[in-house]
Amino acid sequence: MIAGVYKFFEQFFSPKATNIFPVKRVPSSIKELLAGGDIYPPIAVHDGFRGKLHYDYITCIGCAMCEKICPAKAIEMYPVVENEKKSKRIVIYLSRCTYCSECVNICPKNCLSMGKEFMLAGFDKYGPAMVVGSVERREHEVKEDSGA
Amino acid sequence: MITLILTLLMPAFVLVAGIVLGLLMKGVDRKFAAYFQSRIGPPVLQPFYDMGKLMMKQSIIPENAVTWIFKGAPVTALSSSVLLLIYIVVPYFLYLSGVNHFFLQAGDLIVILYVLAIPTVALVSGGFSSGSPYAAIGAQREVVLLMCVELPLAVTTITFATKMSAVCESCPSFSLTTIASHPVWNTMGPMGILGGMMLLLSFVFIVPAESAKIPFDQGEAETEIAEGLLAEYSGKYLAFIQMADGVKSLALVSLTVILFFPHGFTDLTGLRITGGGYDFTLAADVVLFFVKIFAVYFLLITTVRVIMARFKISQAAKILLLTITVVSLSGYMLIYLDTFISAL
Amino acid sequence: MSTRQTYPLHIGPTHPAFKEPVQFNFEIEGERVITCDIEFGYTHRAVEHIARERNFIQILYLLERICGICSVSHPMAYCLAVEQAAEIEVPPRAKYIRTIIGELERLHSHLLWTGVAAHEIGFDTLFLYTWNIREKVLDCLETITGNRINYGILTIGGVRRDITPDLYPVLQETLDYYYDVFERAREIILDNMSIQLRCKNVGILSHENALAYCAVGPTARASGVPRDVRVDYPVNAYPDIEWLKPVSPLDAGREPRGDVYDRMIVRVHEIHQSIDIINFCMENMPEGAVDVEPKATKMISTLKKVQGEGIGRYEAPRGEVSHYDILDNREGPLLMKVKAPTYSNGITWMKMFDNVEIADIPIVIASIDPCVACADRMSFVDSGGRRSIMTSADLHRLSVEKQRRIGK
Repeated sequence: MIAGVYKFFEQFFSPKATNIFPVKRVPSSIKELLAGGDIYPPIAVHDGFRGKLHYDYITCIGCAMCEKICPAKAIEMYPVVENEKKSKRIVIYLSRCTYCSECVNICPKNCLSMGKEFMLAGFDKYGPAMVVGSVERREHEVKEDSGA
Repeated sequence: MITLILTLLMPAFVLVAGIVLGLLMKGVDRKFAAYFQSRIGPPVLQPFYDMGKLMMKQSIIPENAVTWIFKGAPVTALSSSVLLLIYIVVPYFLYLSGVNHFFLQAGDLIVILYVLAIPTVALVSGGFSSGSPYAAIGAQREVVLLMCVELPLAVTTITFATKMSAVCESCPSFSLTTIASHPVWNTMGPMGILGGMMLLLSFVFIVPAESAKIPFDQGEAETEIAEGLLAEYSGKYLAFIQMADGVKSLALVSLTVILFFPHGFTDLTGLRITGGGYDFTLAADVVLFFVKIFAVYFLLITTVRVIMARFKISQAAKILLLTITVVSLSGYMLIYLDTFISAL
Repeated sequence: MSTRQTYPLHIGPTHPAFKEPVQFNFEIEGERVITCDIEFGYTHRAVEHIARERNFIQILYLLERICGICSVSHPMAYCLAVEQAAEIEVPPRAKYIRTIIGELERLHSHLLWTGVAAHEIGFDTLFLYTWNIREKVLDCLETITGNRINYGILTIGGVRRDITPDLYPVLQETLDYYYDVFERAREIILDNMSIQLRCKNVGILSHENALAYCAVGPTARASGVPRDVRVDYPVNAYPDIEWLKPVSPLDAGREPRGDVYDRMIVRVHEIHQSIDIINFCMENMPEGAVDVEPKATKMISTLKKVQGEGIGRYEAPRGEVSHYDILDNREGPLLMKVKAPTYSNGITWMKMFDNVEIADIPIVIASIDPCVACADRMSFVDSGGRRSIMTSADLHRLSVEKQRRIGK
């Protein structure tokens, strides 16, 4: 009649399924928590997890393949001068990224890779934490019409 | 003098203690329900935090609501729930402590039956007056439920009265004090114990039905009619309703405990705790009562609500009017037969 | 003279029972539903339009997001359609991997549905129980594909990731877990008295109506229509599985009536069927490549040379999903047409609402496992604030106009 109910009584005494990620109680300041507070560890991800993109500025040749394939149009090109030659480099807006890993597959120089980070929440979607390659961009970007 | 102090202080004390204990029980209920569902659940004090937050919030009154009923209903529900609790608990403790007070006569089962309906009726009128179709449907269902649960409850009441009149001819047979002083199990043969079990079984359904918990929460039914009766309530009025719910559940559970397990500490152990010239048995009784309340709350409300789905209102009516009434009637028959046989 | 008193009840677009916006307008007498009207169109996202601006590979990730739960079914049907048009033969190992991912998805979708259905009838313990055991298959999918829901594993001409031998133990462990837990879960879901009270003889879709209204998937099978694309039109590894047959309530020893309980039986038994299929695929996994062409750019240039059309049919957890694509020397399809299962099943609601109570409304709505976002095909934008209802003649006229516009 009330079949299987013993299972619920079993659950009453067995360890709970809840993972108290990120914290057990509401912290006094969420900003402090995000800045590096004491976070209860989430369930570990496996190898091959498609997390935050990592970009190697040095090996990139600016071929724009990734920009063309990106389904979410999350990749933007900007002009640089490398080895006294005009070239292009990329930034990836993680707030648009769908983590499909097509850019990683298509890159001829293997300068993109997917990490295991997934705790990417932030307050500024154009800040350095949410735009991969923005630090390099600030260093190397040249204005296109400066040479003209 | 002591009578006057008792008369003045007792209701105020029960009001505060009832609300606090009712909310605490809600918290424990949520925690245990979470354990059944393999969750950690909210902190036990969560209902208190909720109340604090609801009290701070703005109460929105719908444009087409009948304002005075809408506002009055939660307060009526809360005050009548507290009244119910006073009626049930105070005579019991007066009896246990041996104080002679006119409140001893207060716990009358017939009066309790009537007072039990007031919070529901208040909420129903609040629901009807709120002008929301969901609330109107919820109110209709609540009325149906109220009418259906009266019958088995009345049968149980009559059973106890019959039994009491047989056990103690000079006592008022509908009084809770009589029931508390003559625990039903003590004077019954095997057939009577079986009958008592059946009455207890009917309470497994009556208590959730009276306190509007799953499987009998048709009036609220979150996924069907979006909290029904409470659909338009917010802010402090919702807080009042929540408190009323806590107090009413507490009152119902206390009623169950007093009807079926009224044994005091002395009845069970035959001991009296004394020290320094004072008698601490009453304190032991209070602790024992709390333990019993929590156990019955856990068994009749938490456990039932986690292992069942919500009934449809037609099914609920059928179950209460047919199945549960038959169960309580056969309990009545058995207990009556038992009394009859033992009288021979 | 009739003294019937009815009143209108509007449920939706937002309501605790719905996971997606859709509106139902009921006429109620007491607690009984007299008439019902459904309004779609609150969550139209113009997926087909967006797809026309993207290339073949990019569309895959767009289609994954048509439905969060069928996130492999839509790309699968699309891949089958494009492969049919371009006459690409998928390697056998890729076929098996596709089957495994598809069945894992069915497993988690049905577990999710059971939880949702339990929540609709107020049985939250069962809801949390099924969602708890569903975590295992999601973890397995995360290990195999790299993500929990939007797997991103399919590509035209194969799959993007191989299930390497070191992943076999993970998969085997998942299967063992479900074999272990299935019997008890079945008992809790199907033998519980209060669930039977709420689900039996509710929302009946008769055999004739299921045929007449073209019900698909578990909804049709529960009404006794043995309709399953995996059997009728087998793709991937399904042709190799000889014992595969459509699940029917008869498997649980119950004559199909087409009520909610039958749909529950079908879904619960399909969970077991899925485990068996995955087990079969693991045992018979062929060796070889998993992809015709690993480089996406080369694949796009191959497809750019193709002129033709293709239809892909796949049995999603909710029923048949079919995609129709026209390839015409472009980087993406010239035209794409998506037919999601709810598009067929949503209409059967009208018949299911015969003779039900208000309390049955949520479970009847949930019983076809609706995916409203999949089914919304157009939204009517009216700047004047007036409401308009499109008749079938209007829709036909608009379709013809659009076809002419594209065909130019």
